[in-house]
Amino acid sequence: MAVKAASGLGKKAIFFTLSSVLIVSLFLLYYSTREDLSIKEKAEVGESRVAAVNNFVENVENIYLPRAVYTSTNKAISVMTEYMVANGVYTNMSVNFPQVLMNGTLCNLAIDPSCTANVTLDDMSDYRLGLWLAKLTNVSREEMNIKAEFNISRITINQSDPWSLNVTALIDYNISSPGVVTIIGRNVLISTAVGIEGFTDPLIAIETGGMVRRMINRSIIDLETEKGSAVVAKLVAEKTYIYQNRTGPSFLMRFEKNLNASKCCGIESLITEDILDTDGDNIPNPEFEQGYRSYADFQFWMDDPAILCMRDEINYDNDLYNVTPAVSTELFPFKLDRIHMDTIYGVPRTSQNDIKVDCSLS
Amino acid sequence: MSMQKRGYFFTLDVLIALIVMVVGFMLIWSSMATKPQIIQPYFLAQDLIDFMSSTTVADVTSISYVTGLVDNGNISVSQLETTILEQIAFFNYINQTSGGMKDAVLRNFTKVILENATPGQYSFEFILDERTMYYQQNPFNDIQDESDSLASAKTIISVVVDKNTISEPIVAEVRVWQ
Repeated sequence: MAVKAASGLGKKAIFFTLSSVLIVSLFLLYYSTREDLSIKEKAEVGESRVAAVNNFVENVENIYLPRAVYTSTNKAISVMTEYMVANGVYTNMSVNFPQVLMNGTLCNLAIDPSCTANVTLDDMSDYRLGLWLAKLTNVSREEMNIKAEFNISRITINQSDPWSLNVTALIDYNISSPGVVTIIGRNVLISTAVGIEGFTDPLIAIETGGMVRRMINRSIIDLETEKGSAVVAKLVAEKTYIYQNRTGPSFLMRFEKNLNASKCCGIESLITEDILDTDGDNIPNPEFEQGYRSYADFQFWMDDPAILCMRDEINYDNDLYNVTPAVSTELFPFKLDRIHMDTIYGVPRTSQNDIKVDCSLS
Repeated sequence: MSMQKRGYFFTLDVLIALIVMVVGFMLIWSSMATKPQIIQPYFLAQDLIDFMSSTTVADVTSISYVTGLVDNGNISVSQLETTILEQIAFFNYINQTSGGMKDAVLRNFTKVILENATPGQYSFEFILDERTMYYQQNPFNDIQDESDSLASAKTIISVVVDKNTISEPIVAEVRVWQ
């Protein structure tokens, strides 16, 4: 009987053992599945974070920074021009422009050639590139949990086109989603083109003491097909600019009063009555009365009229010519040098409109 | 124990084991089936952000309200090539700097673009610079705060207002839930 009872208990034990093994297996299966799901979820969250950081980096390089550089450049050029006109000074664009763009400060090279002291340009304070980058950093950190650090190591401005500036920022960045991904960019070039139309010509504004602010406005005249005194008259009437790379300086060179020729980007406008008679009394300003200057704007303000003579010794004679009758007033006889008469505007020269330049005066 | 009794015992054993296994697997599957689907709302939210970031205003001029905005000068011709999100951000900037004068244009433009932009069973909200610009409730009236499957996609937006001015960077967010 005892053996029988033990045998029955043994069979029941097998049943209970199998059941418990099964139940434990089910629990293990259940929790292992949950663990798998959790890892999958984490991977998906990580994936979305990586995608968010990637998008942010892409936008930084292709949208945010080019736009910020574009608008800050526009403002910086305007503010610099105002400062230059107010103080009657020229600047060194490669030194001063990056300072103004990033920090809204400028060293006055006329009184501080070693550039040790900076002037704060108040009008630039809200438009600094550095300020905008700080705002972007804050928003990305607070709203998207993306940590961004930017370091702009170099800013350059140059021209390869007469009607636009090319601004390039060399930038390092470190952008991360903490604990998920970090993207590091080194020496990333951010370039943007800024059209010059609408800017004040700094050369004319400074040389007229701020009395004449001529906006860069591109003429529709095509000098390849249109020639003659009528073209000159039209340019005078419109106060517009033409591309002229034989002798004309670029827009950027005008900030430095570098009046040499720019092969790629020379532009010029012509001297008009508002420049010669800034107070409108129909009497030419005394400083403009003496005559041996061509009325191409940059030549008009060459510090030394003898430059005309120097040039003439090489290729051209040293005469100036009245452009009549298309452009003529008794008070302000319009004069051009020979290269402008012959090559650029194609105005016929005669002995009647020849004005001999006396180079001995220089 | 006779052979008959043993057979009965093992049959019962198998039945019980089957019941335990079936119940167990059903428990597992049911727990997986009721798990909130967060991925779909996330993709929907990201899709909406991508749609607004890549579609230009010119692409939606078939909407009469948008055409009206172009005709009455609220959208300039040069802005036709900007994206919908940029246009909304532009309206937002103008609205803020004009003391709320463009609020109706901002909201109506957003509405005509985003109306029915997600499948009907999802609710969604478009938030710009911490302000709700558009809100669409699903037929089940699922409440955002009580939802198990709320997903959000964000992007930063900043627009050139004029050649000197870029707007401050702000966040555009789409929340989708069920």
